[in-house]
Amino acid sequence: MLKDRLLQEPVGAGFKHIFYTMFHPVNGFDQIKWEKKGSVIACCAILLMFFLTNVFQQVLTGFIYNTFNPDKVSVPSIFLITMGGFAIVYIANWAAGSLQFSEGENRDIFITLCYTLVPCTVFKLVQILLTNFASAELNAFLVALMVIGYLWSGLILVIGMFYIHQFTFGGLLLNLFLTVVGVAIILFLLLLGYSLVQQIITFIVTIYNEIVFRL
Amino acid sequence: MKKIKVIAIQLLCMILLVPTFARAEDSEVPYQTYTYDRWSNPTPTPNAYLPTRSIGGAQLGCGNFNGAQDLFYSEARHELYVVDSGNARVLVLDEDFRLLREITGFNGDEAFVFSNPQGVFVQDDGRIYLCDMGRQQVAEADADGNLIRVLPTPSSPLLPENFNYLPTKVVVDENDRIYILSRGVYQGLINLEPDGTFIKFFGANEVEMTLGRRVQKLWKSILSDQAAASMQSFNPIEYSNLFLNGEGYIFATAAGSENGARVLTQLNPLGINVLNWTGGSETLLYSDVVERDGIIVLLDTNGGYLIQTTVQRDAGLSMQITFGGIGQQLGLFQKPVSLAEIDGNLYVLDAEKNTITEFVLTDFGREIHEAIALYNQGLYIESIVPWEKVIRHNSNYLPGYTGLGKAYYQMHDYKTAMYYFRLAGDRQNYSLAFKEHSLGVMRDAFPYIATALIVLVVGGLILGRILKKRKEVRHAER
Repeated sequence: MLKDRLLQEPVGAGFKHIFYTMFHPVNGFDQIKWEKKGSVIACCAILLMFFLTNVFQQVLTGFIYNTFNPDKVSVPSIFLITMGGFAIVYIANWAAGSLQFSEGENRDIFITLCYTLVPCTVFKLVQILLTNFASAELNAFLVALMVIGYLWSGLILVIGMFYIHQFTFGGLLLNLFLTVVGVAIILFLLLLGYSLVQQIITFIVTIYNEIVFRL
Repeated sequence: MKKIKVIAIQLLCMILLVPTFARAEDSEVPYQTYTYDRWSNPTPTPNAYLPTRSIGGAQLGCGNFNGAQDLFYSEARHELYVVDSGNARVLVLDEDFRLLREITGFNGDEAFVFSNPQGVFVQDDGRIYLCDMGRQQVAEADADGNLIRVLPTPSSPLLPENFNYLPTKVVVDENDRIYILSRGVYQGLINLEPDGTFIKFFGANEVEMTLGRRVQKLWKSILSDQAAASMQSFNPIEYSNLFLNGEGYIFATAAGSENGARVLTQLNPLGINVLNWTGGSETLLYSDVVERDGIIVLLDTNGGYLIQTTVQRDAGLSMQITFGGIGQQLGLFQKPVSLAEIDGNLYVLDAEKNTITEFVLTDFGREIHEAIALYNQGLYIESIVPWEKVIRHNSNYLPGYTGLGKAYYQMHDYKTAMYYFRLAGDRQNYSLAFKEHSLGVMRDAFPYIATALIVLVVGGLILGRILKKRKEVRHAER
């Protein structure tokens, strides 16, 4: 069912819609909500690009700006942080939306959050490219570039959430706040689970060692 | 075929049996000399100094030291002074470590017999200044040990009421102004006129602001004055030792700092710190320092380390070579308290082992000194050869790459400079070289870019005109 829907998606139109929404966010998100425009596959491509950009940032940034120790660059951990972080925000926002009886659908939230990543990813890519041709004095411009990227992303996020969930302004603020709280709770639970699993493993290892020593 | 295999294996075994040629610099030293790489990881390096001998009282023929506290080398007089505090005497040695004389007190109308001497300073003309913590006095004597005067206990409204005068170290500048370090005085050094009157506190260290102190400061601003006064007061870190270098700067070390801030200061004649250094990442207790030609050697009591660093004009101070440690073997210490430097060689006085350990520069160390001396004078191009020698010895010695980079920068070979700055991890200088390099590239490429632009513009204009003409013709035809 889901597979069929994904296969029928007009992916090319989805990419076009990303570009359209960046400059016409109100109309773009309205189309996602009511005309079911936008493509999940295209959004997955954005996510992939987001992950790759974070890898590029550590590997391809010019020497003058690169503060990453090449010995410590770990692609799996970058993958976990970017994709895991996205998943947590996605789940938290979905949960917050459900609590507020909002109209946002699963698919819409996913697409909105992916669209949010577009400006900052693009600006970061540009920044990485420029660091290879810029001397240290141009730092201020590069920072300004990144600030523009993040502001644009923030705008897309706010407008997207507003239209996807059909919120009032107060509802939107509450939603963003609840999302942050949700992220904190999920992280706390993950940490709890992690330490529990660790303790269980230590327990089993200890028992194993005790048995082995007494045999 | 089988035979060849057998022969090959035999050959391999023979190669394995041949002893590897170890350099003398790497052998028989109980410590590992190390430096730091770009990411502040300790990296082993060849030894820059080797411990050659340890000299105790028995070898000098004057009985063992007992808790000796200070070592002072007078360059003008070629004499080494050892303050043997526990035995209440000062030993004067020549450069070959032969005992010249033993001073137990200064002669005069009223003899100044040492009680607990802690520090000594000798002027170039031979006048001896001695801090006696037991007698709570600082005395001045001539080269023959005849008392000139006993400096009066400083008195000033600036001094606290319950002031306890415990002079431990003293330095005297070329104008005979006296700087005394007194235990428990955190306001700075006690600065006296040549005649012994108190001038001011000199070069107080900074209060280090830890998180706890910041919180306390916040509370103090909220609470009433009375309540605030009863809280713990913030005092600067106390100094532990002094060193007067050839240019008249006073280097002062501080023992004990929570975040490693301001453990070494270089005070100019106004008492202002001119050293740009925030200290290392480790908690070190510096007890002494020597400096020559911009090469600073610090002595750490806690871990028994000797740390050679250099002042770099733009980058401040960086830890470069660390060696030593705690232990009983030659080259390790129990409680190192004082440090002296003669012709680049180092002499460390240990208050518990009661010996002076001699460290002699290796070829590697000497090359570093040579290169840094040239580098600090700004003779970057002349320093290429010594730096290259240094790097042949130790390719992990990053300041060498910075030195080479600066030399090539000065020679306008920006590409090579970039290569070396990159190896050194020196972003700032790399950026400068990069700017010059890209400017050169742009300059070379400009004729082509300009030509291409002109061709494009002119071509575009001509094409536009032709198209317009054709349109008009088509219109006319219609």
